[in-house]
Amino acid sequence: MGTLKGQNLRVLVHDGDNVFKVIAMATSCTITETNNTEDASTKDDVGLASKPTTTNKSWQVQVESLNVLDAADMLTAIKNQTPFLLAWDQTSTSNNQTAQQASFSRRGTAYISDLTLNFNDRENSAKSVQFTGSGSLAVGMVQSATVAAGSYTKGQFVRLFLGDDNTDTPSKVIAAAKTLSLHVSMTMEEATTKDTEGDWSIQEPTALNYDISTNALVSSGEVITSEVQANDLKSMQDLYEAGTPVKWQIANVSGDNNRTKGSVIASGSALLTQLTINAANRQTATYDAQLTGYGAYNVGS
Amino acid sequence: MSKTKDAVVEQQNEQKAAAGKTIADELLTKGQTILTAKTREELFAKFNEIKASVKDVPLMTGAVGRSRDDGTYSLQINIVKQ
Repeated sequence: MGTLKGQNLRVLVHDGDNVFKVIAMATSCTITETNNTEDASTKDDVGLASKPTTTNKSWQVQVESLNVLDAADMLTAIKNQTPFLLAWDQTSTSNNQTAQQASFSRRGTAYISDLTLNFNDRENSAKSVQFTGSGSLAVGMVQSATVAAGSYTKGQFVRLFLGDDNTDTPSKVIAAAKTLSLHVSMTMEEATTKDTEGDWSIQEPTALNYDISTNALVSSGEVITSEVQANDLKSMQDLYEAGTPVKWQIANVSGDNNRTKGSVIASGSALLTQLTINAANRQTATYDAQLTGYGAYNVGS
Repeated sequence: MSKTKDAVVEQQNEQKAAAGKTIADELLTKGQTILTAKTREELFAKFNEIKASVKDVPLMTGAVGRSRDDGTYSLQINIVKQ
């Protein structure tokens, strides 16, 4: 028997049709199962060595994928704390998708606790999803169905729009933007009590935070034919100094200079919390802007 | 000649309306649909038509994707879950 390659060990998600499907266009997955312990050594134990005993078991699944067609769906799932029934299993080499019900396969309920969407110029956009398990794992034994071939999203076609303040409809892109990242994090807290049977950790969501990061050239010299206006370092400096929230949208774009807003993926208000100007010798001057979410974001417009 | 051209355009418009209705029905039934088109602009135009036809139903979209195989653009639309 040869080695098992990473593309044939995959995370699957239960869908409404009572089968499991692989997370489409995945590039990697990491499953972490932890026996949380405390030292049970006492004065009766001779020597210096500790004696850990299990307090509870917890598990997390991290998946990276190039599919961002479901970006709004993922943003909704983390905000609403939608439970996912996940499994991991060996998949067939004929299509890399059919679950083989391997002996190490497991399944359980998890919630998205961390989500990052990256839309970087000329790169394939990607999402990184962390699921935190809540409750026990059972042996896999899942039936699977295949997913259709995916579509790729080049990062220059998804852009951040900002308003001038917290009432203005976001209409200005970030001029000469290079990168864009939306990161959402749900703080989870241990909710196991004496009433909880078994060793498995139960996790409850407590707080939702998000931030938006972007990097842009200070000046690009590109010819702009689009009528859509843009924020530059000067206007970002103004936003920083104003110190008040501003409306934002992340939207699909097309048209001249990739600035015409198509459909909006997510929107909300955010505070510009950090502006970093980078000026290394003989290199193009850039700046990084980080906005911290103010209140909940919305999906769609 | 002009009459034939008008008839063809009318037929194309009817087919387009019928296809749009089918997509809107799928969206309302399943809560999700995927639009496809040959260009981004066409895709957004289709989305705006769907949005107009389902009126007060709040919709959300993901990022536009492009097929590696044939260059078709896709957009996943979901009904917003409150």
